Order: sequence, then C-alpha cells, then structure tokens
Amino acid sequence: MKKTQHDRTGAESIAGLSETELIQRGKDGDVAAFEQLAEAYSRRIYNIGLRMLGNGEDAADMAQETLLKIYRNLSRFRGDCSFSTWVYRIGVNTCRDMLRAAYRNRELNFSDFGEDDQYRQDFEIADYSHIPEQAYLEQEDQRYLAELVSGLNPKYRLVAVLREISGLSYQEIADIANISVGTVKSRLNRARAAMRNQVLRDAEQYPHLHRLMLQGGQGK
Amino acid sequence: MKCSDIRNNFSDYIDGEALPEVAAAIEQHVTGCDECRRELENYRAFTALLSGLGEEELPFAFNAKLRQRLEEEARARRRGKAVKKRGWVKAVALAAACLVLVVGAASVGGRLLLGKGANDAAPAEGYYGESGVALYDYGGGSSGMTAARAPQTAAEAPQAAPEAEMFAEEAQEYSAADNVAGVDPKSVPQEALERKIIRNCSLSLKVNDFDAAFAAIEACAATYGGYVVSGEKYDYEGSTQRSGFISIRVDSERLDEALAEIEGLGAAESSNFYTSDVTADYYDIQGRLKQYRTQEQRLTELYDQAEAITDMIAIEAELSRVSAEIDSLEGTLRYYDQLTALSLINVNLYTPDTYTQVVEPQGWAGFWQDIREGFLNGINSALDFLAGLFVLIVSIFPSLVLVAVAVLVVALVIRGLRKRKRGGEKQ
Repeated sequence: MKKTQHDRTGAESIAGLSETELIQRGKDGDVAAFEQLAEAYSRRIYNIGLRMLGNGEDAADMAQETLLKIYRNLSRFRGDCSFSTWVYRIGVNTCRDMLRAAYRNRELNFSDFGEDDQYRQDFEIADYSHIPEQAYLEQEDQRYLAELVSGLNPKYRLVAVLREISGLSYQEIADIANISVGTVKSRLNRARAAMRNQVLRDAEQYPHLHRLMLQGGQGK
Repeated sequence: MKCSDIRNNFSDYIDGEALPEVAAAIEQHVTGCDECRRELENYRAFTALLSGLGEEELPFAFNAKLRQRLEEEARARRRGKAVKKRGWVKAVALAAACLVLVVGAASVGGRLLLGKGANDAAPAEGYYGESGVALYDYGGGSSGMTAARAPQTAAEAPQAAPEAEMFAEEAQEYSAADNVAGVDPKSVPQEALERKIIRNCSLSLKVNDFDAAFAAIEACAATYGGYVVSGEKYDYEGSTQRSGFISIRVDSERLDEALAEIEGLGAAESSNFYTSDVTADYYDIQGRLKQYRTQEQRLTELYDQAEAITDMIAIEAELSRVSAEIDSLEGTLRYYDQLTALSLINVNLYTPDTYTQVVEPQGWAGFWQDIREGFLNGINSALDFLAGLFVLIVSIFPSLVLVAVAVLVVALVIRGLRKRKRGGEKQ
C-alpha cells in the first residue's frame, strides 16, 4: 500500500514537469520521462501513419519506429524548431521511408499506396483506381473518406492529412514537410479539389454520396 | 475577380490562411454571386467532413510494446557506454595497425628503390601486413564485446591463439581452460554459466589402405555418437594415389577420443582446431526468450480476463506474434545446442604419392621447344629488367633533382672562385 502511494507521487512529479524538463530527462535516458513525453504525441503520430499508410498495422509500426528514433536522437534536438515540429518531421520521414519500401515491393502488395514523388513525376494528384466498390456499396462514409485521402499522391496526401486529420496550421505543415507556405496552400487546394471532384464523379453513379457533399453545409 | 479565381482561393479562405485582401475579395464576391456562395458552403461542408474523420485510438498494447522497446534501447545504451569505456583497447589496436602499415609501407618503399626484386615482394608484404592488422583488430574487438556481456575475458584469452600446440590443451575438458588462464574459479561471478563452445577441427591424414581408413572414419562417427556429414573419393588418371574427403560429426564430449582414433589410422600431416564461443549469444537469446515467455503468460492472463471481443482479437494477435518469436528463439537455441553438442571433424585422406611420370621421347621437337621457351623467357626478363629500371629512375627522380641542384650550386661556386682567382692573378 505504501509502495503504491510512493509510486503515485513519483508519477505526479513527472506529470508536473514541463515539456522542456521531460526532454532533458529523456536525453539522460529516463524511460518514464520519455513515455510521458511520448504520450502527447503517440496518438497523433499513429493517426498520421494511419492515413498516410492506409492501415493500422503499418501505422503502429511506423509510430513505434518514430518514437524509438525520437528517443535515440533526443540529444540531437537543439530547439531550433518547436519540439512538436521536430517530432512530426521524424514521423513524416519514417512514413516516407515506409512508403518507399512499399513502393519497391508493390508487385507483392496489390493495394498500391500510390507513387512517391521521387520515383515518378507527378502528372496526377490522385489515383482512385483501387478504391473498392464496396466502399460505396456498404455506405461506409468514413471508410469512403479515408480511402479518398489514402488515394491521393503522397505529397498531396501528407499536406491533406496534416491539415484535416492533425489540424496543424499552414506554417507548421510547411516546417514539417520542409516546403514553403505557398506550396502548402497550393497542394492543399489541389488535394481538396481532387477529392471533391472524385466524390462528385462517384455521386453520379452512387447518388447517396451527394449526402457527403451537402450534409455539413446544412448543419452549419 | 472571376468566379473561378474566387473559387480557387476557397481552400485557404476556409482555413483562415488567405491573404487579407483575398479574403475581403471573396467575402465581397459571395454576397453578390449566389452560385459561388453555394459552392463555398459545399466546400466548407466537405472539408468539415474530412476533418470529421478524426483521430483513431492507439492499437491495443501499443504503449506496452513501446515501453519494452524503450527499455531494450536504454539497456543497449548502458551496455554501449560500458563498451565505450574500453575505447583504449581499440586505440591500442589502431595504433598497432598504423605502425604495421607504416613499417610495411616503408619496407615496400625501400625495396622499390632497390629495383625489380621489390615488385615481386610487395604484394606478399602488403598481404601479410593486412592480415596482421585484421587479427589484432579481431582480438581487441571480441574481448571488448564479451567482457561487456560476461566478465570472463581472461578465461577466454587462451582461445585467441590458434597455435598447433594448443591442440592438446583445447581437446581437454573446457572447464580446465579457466584454470589455465590463472583465474581462480572462485573469483568468477556466480552468473558464470556453462560455456557454449562450438568445437570443430580438420586434419589431413596420409594412410596406406585408403578404403579401410575411409570405412574406419565412417565407423568412428557412429561409435562416438554422431553421423557422417559427407564423403567424397577421388581417383586420378595416371596415378595410383587415391584421395578423399570425409566429414563427420561426433559427440563433442568425446571429440578427443575420436580424434585419437582417427589419427591412429595414419600419419597426420596437418591438423587445425577451431572453436567459436557462442556463450554470450546463447545466454542473450535465453534472456530474451524468458522475457517473451513472461509476456506470453501475461497476455494469456489478460486474454482470460478480457470481455470485449475486440480486446480478445487484439490480444490474440499479440499472442501469436509473441509465440512466433518464442518459436524462432527456441529454434536458434536448439541449433546452437546441436552445434555445441556435436563437433565437426573434416578429414582429408590420401595415400602416399606413388605418381610415376611417363617419359616420352621428344626428339628435335623438344629441343626447338626449349629454345623457343628460353628465348621467350629471355625477352620477358629483359622487359622486366627495363620496367624495373624505369621504376627505379622514376623513384629516384626527385632525389636526382635535389642532387643536380646541389651539384649546380657547387659548380657555380667553384667557377666563381676560380674566376676571382684568375682575375686576382691578372691584376
């Protein structure tokens, strides 16, 4: 009983620490402090992975890998950008590596994640050829939307995910993806246009999808 | 602004990231243009829908798995620091390597100046130097590594010297080696575990009755609790010599008995004994296995307590991953067990060389052949000589320039002195 009491106070002393203090402790190898630090980001990283990679299993791997990389390289964080930007950047790079690996193994894995810009010039913003018809037929709006996002070409997908899912500002996205704010604007604009057009196209065949386009508007 | 331009800026505008003048233009436009206003509403609805996808929860056991990996990492880091402290071992090895290289280079360079002979010697010299470095480096590295895992470096020292004399000692019960190194067995920590050592050897054996010896070695495999791995027999044309290769495995506890028996079959021309210590690896794997087993048990308990189907599925997935790990680790351990339990003996077997060359009369053809070969050899050596000479000249060229400059200076000085002298006489 006494021991749990002690543990709890120990946990509280970590919980009360600021991010900077946690980072400092993490640099010294303190696993508990790092866990506390990671807790604020692990879910967000996982969700970026989920939308970028298209499945939970890869996303979990990616999030684990990212957090481990962060733990390993914590001493290299010098504070020349915000910690969250640094964390997201590592996550995004890990995603990129995994997408690249998936691209290389694409013959093995039919559910193509789309091409990475390094390997093919971008003529198209999106490739929706792989969305299974069931997605419409089952009327799973959420799933349909998720497929819409994961059908985007990675560089557009990244911007869309960081904005729509992670809710980051244009400036943050620019810092993370290492592009200008102007590029963020144009990519996001094109990504959204591509997704909307796709919904409109699908809506001709599957009338219930019109709902997706109008519902929110009526709500407001 | 045209409707299309207006619509093109909806994306930023909705996010509140459009430039103020653009935002103003949009607001002004949509009050007048119904179609664009509707479009803006739809656009906003659509983005709201996308953000409605939201964030999903972390998968089951995500944090537990993360903690495990972090702790492994932290442990590896601590271990890494311990190894770093032994950096001086590497430094000494590096210094020795540099010394060998410098000495090697100097001797090669020195011979180069002497002309052709050095050209032949250089590659051999270089090779020798390199292998020396590699050996040293290996010694330093491996002792550093094992020391970090189990504090038994001293006990391992005798293994590092693969001398022929070691043969007899090595063949003895390994526990004796701890004493050989002068380590008091009591000072070895409690965690000093049974060593896992793979012991293999190979020997060349000259025998009179080839087939009988071959069969005897085959029989040996069975006698000493092992089996025949492979066997080959070769016969050569024009020769009565027979040779073959046979490889057997025997119980490593009885390796020396088996060797004694095999050596008794003939004259052993050469024998090599090599060991590889997998103790550190072995117990490392065992530790990981233990960890996974506890995890498996914990997961099984969790599974029994789980009520929601989703939890059960998640636990089951994790369980199957863990048991796959366990299987693979167990497999590795079994493999090591087998390698350490059974020693490999490779035997090269041959009969004495009774090769008789058939002499054929060659006539004049042989004579002309000899002349031709002699002449070609002469040309080759002349070319070699010229090449050597050229290398020599190129090598000493820098020195020649220096000498020439010195000679020139001296000549000028002498000439100057003479002139002055003559001038003095005239006056």
